[in-house]
Amino acid sequence: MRRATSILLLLLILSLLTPLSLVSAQEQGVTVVDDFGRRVLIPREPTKIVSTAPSITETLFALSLGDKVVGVTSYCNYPPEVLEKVGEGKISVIGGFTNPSLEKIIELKPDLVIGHNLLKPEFVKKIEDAGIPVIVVKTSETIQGVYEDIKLIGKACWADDTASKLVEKLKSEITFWEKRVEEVEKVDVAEIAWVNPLWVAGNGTYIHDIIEHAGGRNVFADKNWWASVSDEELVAKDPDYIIVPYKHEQELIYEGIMKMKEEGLIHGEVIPIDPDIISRPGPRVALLFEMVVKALHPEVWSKVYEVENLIAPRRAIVGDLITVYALVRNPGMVAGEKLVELSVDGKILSKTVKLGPGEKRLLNFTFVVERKGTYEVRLGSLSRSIEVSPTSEEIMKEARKSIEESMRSYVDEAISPISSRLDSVASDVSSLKQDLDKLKSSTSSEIAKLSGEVSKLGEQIGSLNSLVTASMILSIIALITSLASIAYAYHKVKKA
Amino acid sequence: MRLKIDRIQFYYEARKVLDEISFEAGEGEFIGLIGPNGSGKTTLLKIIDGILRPKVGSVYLDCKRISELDPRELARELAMVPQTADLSFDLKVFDVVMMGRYPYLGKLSFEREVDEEKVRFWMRLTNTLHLAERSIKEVSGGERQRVLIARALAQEPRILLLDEPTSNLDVCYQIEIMNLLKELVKKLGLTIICAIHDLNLAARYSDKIILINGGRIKGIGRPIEVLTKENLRDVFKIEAKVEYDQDSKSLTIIPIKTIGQELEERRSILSKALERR
Amino acid sequence: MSGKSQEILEARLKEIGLLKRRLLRWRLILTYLTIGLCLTIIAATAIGPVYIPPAEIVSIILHKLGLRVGGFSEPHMKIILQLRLPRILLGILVGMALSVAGAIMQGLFRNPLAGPYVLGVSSGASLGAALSITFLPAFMGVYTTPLAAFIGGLTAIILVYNIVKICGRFTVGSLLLAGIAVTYLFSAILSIIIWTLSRDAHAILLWIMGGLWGADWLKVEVIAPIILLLIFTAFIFSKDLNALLLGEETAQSIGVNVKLVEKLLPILASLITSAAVSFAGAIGFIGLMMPHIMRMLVGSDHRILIPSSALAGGIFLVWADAAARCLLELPVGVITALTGTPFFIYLLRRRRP
Repeated sequence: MRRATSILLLLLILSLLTPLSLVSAQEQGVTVVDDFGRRVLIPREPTKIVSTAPSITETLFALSLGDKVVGVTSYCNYPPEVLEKVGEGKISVIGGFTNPSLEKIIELKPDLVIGHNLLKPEFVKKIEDAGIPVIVVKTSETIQGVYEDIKLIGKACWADDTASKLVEKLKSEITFWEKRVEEVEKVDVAEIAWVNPLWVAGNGTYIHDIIEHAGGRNVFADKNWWASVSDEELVAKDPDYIIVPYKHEQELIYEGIMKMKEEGLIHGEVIPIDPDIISRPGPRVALLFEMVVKALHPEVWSKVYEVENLIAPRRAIVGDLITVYALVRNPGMVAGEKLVELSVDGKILSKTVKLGPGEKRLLNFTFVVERKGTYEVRLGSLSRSIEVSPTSEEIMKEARKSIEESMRSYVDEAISPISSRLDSVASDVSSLKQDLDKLKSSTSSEIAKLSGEVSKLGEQIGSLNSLVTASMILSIIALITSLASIAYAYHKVKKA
Repeated sequence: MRLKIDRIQFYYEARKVLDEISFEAGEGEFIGLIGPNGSGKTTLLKIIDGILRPKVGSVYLDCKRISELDPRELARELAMVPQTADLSFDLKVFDVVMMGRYPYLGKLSFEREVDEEKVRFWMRLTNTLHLAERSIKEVSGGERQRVLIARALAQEPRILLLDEPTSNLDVCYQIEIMNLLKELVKKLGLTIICAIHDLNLAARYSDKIILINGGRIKGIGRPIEVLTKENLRDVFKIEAKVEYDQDSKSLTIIPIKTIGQELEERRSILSKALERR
Repeated sequence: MSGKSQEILEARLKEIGLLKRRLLRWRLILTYLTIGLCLTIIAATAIGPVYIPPAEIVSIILHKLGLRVGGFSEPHMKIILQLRLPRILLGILVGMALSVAGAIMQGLFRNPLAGPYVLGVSSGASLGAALSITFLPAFMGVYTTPLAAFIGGLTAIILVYNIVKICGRFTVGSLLLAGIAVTYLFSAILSIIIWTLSRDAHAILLWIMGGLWGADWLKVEVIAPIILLLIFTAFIFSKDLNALLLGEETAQSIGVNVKLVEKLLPILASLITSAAVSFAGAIGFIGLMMPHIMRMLVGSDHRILIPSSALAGGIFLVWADAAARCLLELPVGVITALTGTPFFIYLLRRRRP
């Protein structure tokens, strides 16, 4: 009975301790599964890390682990900090890419060695045997692979969060560009790795993946990995764009391709890119992506910019020369010419401006406002309106017009009774005229009669002359008076 | 004097191989050069032919130093039949003999009909014409020797040097060649210097004999004057009978036995070895 | 052939004279080879990874000559006129150069193992090319490396001659030994470069393996006069080389200026080799084997051996390169070795039943 109790007690204690031990075991280190399925335990947070490849070095520095790096290869040159630290002796060079020095690595007593798939397995094993945790990363052949490798390295260095953040940032940058070239027609591209003989990037290479996602179509996608092809195949395919690694002292490939272009064998545009960026799948993947997008689809790239501010006057007068200021920024990591298109009242004004990565520039657009009203000025997502008022001349013109209008209406109002009255006067005049005519005819008949009588009464004319003359004068006066009154009335009317 | 050899000294590296060699050879003279192996006969012949240069002394051809002559010019005057020839390449016999016409052809010219006639002539004379189309690698040693003689003759030299020309030949061919050479000396006035190890042949055909030993001339003169018992003993280390036939004016040397300490020792060692078996 | 007619034929041939017969034979061989070369050029133009029908090729060439017959596409015209034709011509020139250089070396050294590379020219050129690829900026564009390689080859031969001068008498034997020494020296330096600067190792190895990639008309124009002139000069020395076959002393005896020939011909052969190797890398097999093969077929007389080796070498390299074009641009030296060796063995067996 007592034994059973003691056993039970022991079991109880053990069961209590087990979770504790598990917890402490878990706190005893991080286990990662590397690209070759090796389970590696990294017992402590690494404070001394050795990198065996330039892409790995870049990743470590991008994860802000630069201070912990103690060993790099002779090819590691980015970020520039690496070269400084090597110069100061803070970082040692452990050798080349395929044949680093085992002794140098061990001498550094690192907590973690990050190897790559081109190292000999025996070499990796020897590091393991020396008690140093070593993970092997396979040089990624896809963009996705880069994310995973960054996460893997991050995890091994006990920096999961930083790694996830970095991956998210890169992802968002790449997606940003990917979206923008989704709808655009793909262009034919080839990437040349060497000339004489011609080696191109085929399916399953890092740059191929980038091309395919950045709006391009690799003409050599049917080849596997890096393939040797004949010059003839390149001439026959004649892609629109040819990506060529180019750097000072690594100019042979560029020279070779340019020679083919000069001879008219190929017609595509040659795009030189720093070979360090092309061949290192790592944190510069987003930079490379943007570079490729810019090269393949400049029409898309040049229109991507951030408008931070748009300044336009609130008011203007017709005929003014207006200047609108726009503060634009290059949101990406690649320098180049941006095409800024300002929409002014439906018309487009464009300007090109060279911007470095992240660079801001103040641009001015000038134009003349020609009509009155509201001018809508739009750039990107920002818009401003300008109230355009008409000029003083116009105001005067307007005023005159309105006065004329009002006068016209006034006169119309005043004139209608006058005109009706004039009408009646006119009719009176016409009747007067008729009467006058009658009178005239009667007068003339009378005159004729009278003149007849005059002739008859020639002698009596003298006495009657004055009478006749008087009556003639009278009738003439009456005529004149009526004519004068008509004229006067007419004149009066006209004056109104 | 056609050919004058004047105080020749020759060194092979540090060793003196020829010392104070001087003699003259005139038109229509058959000179036999005799001496034991290693006495310097071949070296002397090479120096006369201009292949080797003496350290001291000169060879004069018609009073001109041969070192001052153009090799082609020299080849038209002097020809040599070597003892052995390195013939590892596949050439036809005809082509080998035709090489003798080299000194008469320009840099770019091909051989002419007259060259072919001459080659045929000399090959007929040396009885090698029937071998014309065969490869030089396929002919026998003796035939090869005759081909080389034909080649030298094709150079149509005034002075012919031969180094052991009869060493590989059958007896009949030996006689034939020696007769031919004598004819050439008599009829064409050739000067022949012939190194020979067969003392009888040398005695019979030579007008003059030069006896060389250890790089020095030990005797020069008519065969009967040089091939004396004493010389034979001193130089050749043999006891011999020297017979002179008055009628045929020929000298015959019959070796009887060898003398000399080393030879005696060697013989006793040999007999002892045979006894033991 | 029946006995009687054979007799008549032989008698008639004998009448013609041996020299005439030989000349006839030689003319026949050279005619066949020249026809073969022309046919090879024509056939090789039609071979390549991009299929171009023969009719199109004909219209392209006629168009170049001024006649407008038939249709063709622009990229095909570029491929034929600017890629394939210069490459074929370069192949002929390089094949000629290496074969003749090999024949000269074999005649000089009277050694069947002698080839154009024994005097260190190829290691010198490889080193020059390696230094250019690794360190030099391309100040002459794509022609930087060939120039560096040529200088490297010349350096090697100058070094060889100087070593011989310092170490005593000038003999072909000492030349050969000095050549071996220089070859090993340069190869060692080359290995160091490849090992420490492994980034460019692939490029250097490709260059060394040799190939006719990057052939263009300028290269053909530059190299054609050099090689043809040098081959002609070598041909002038045919009789001397023939004489050397009998041995140095015999050659001297028949009037050959052996000293001059032995000093001049290695330089000549090295220049030819250097020119060929700088533009096409160290293509193997041809320099060594081609003269042997031709010797078995036409004889040892250099007056026929040199021209026929040249023609045969050109033909062979063009075919090998045509195959290389279609097989993913394999280095041409691989193909020459793979195809040439069995043929060589076959010939060897035929000679010794």
